[in-house]
Amino acid sequence: MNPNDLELLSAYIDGTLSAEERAAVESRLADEADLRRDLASLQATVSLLGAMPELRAPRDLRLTRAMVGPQVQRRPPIALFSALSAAAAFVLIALGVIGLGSTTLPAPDAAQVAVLATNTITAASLPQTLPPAPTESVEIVAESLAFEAAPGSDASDEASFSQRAGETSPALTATMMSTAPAPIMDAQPAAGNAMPTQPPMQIMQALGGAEMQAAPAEDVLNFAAEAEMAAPAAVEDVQESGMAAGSIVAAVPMPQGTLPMPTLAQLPPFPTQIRAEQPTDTLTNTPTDTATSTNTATSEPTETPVPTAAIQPTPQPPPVDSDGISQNTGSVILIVVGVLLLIASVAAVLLRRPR
Amino acid sequence: MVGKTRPTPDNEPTLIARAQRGDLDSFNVLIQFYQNSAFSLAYHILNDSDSAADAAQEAFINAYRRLSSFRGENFRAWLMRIVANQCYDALRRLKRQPTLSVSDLPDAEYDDGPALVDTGDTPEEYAERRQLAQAVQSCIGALPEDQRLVLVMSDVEGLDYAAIADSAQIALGTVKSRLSRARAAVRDCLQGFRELLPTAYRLISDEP
Repeated sequence: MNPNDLELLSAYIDGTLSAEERAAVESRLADEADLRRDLASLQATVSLLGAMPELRAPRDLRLTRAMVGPQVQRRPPIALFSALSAAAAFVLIALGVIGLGSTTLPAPDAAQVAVLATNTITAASLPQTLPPAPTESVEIVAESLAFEAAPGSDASDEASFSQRAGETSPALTATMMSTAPAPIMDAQPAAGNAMPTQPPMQIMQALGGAEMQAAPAEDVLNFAAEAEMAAPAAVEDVQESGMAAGSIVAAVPMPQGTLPMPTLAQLPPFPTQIRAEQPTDTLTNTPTDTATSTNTATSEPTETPVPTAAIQPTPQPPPVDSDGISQNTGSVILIVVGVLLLIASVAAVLLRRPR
Repeated sequence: MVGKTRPTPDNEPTLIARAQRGDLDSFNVLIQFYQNSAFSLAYHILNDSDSAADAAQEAFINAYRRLSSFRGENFRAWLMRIVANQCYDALRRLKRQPTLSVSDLPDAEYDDGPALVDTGDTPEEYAERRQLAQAVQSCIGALPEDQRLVLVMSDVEGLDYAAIADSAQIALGTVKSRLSRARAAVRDCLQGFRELLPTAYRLISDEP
């Protein structure tokens, strides 16, 4: 029989024809004996195939532990959600704090802006492929992110974590470099206090970036967009929130002409600090299926007093205009959403615990 | 495409949930229940007992590792799709060895072949069923592999077009055309075994 009719009858048997097609076939079947015969033999064949007896497996196919590898702590999706939402929560809170602090900030001078602007353009035009100099720093960042992942996590988590860190850090660094100068350029120029404000912003970005190690690239870009709306963070506000300001001061003498990449020494203390002040004791104490970077909080408490001792006072900047009020509202909203997200992620983890 | 209702093990959702948390013993209970089905599917596709057993076990290992992706749909269908994929890979590997074809493998012979699952037949009934099964299998085995895969998945295993298309990475239209050609080929091949076919089949296919 011709292939078209064959397919038609086959579909008729399976009931996949439209109502019109079905009616057309049935009309033809009433008239064409050959078609009826073909349909009958095909239908009988399909039924016979469906009635094939089950065969017996010739040997036991059950698995041994050796076949599947060692017991892997399964990372259920809910834990990933917790990790991502916790990371996003910290980002939002950090943004909110930055936003609140933006109303009382000094601005950098034009020279700093120009340097960072050129660095930004270089970085922004190469989002995925960084030049050799930052690559090295990217590796340092990746190492530090992977280092944070190492304590307390099992092999699979660490591998995936490091991989994510490695994947996201180029994007992070590109974003950090591209976002750092933008708010600085928006602010009104002022003399003298330029230097301290940029490194804090970069550190904030980098440290915020450290939070984002588990977050997708879109969050990083949103973070960049948010940061561009805010003016550079004040050093005092950073200090007041208990962050590792000493690392910020250490970053102050940032040489011009190099890309503003935070060094390894600057990265780890911040997550420690930021987690220490958040109500996330349960988060840090839960098993490895939560954001593994939180483990550093319990292991590095001694670093916190040292940086704060090194804090140097900066002069009080003049207040800004009324744009700061709407900015404040937005920042508060960010903080509230971040806190809610944090609560959600903690709750998700806690609810998973009973096994 | 046949719609079949098949039994499932007691407490299947519990077993699956435990297995998803790394309990290999629970997964092995599931394997015990499904291994004949998995082997059967693999044997229909690969036409060889050893290859089929290996493929089925590999499929179980894959399934265990991917349990987290099982989202509570039909476990049997999910498992059988993994078995079919494993067989598909095995077929492609066989294709790369030009001196060896599936029909050259042992067990392609008429009277060698896996045993049937015992369903309480008398020995005569068992022998009859087995003979018929082997005849049909030889017709299936004579099909080109692309057609064989689609036919077995659809008509022997009962998977739907979409599942087959997704599994074999082909278009829905391709599934339909391969299926129709495979059915016609098996029908024609079965004419050579008329004396073995159930009376009902012979009567139906002869109906004017």
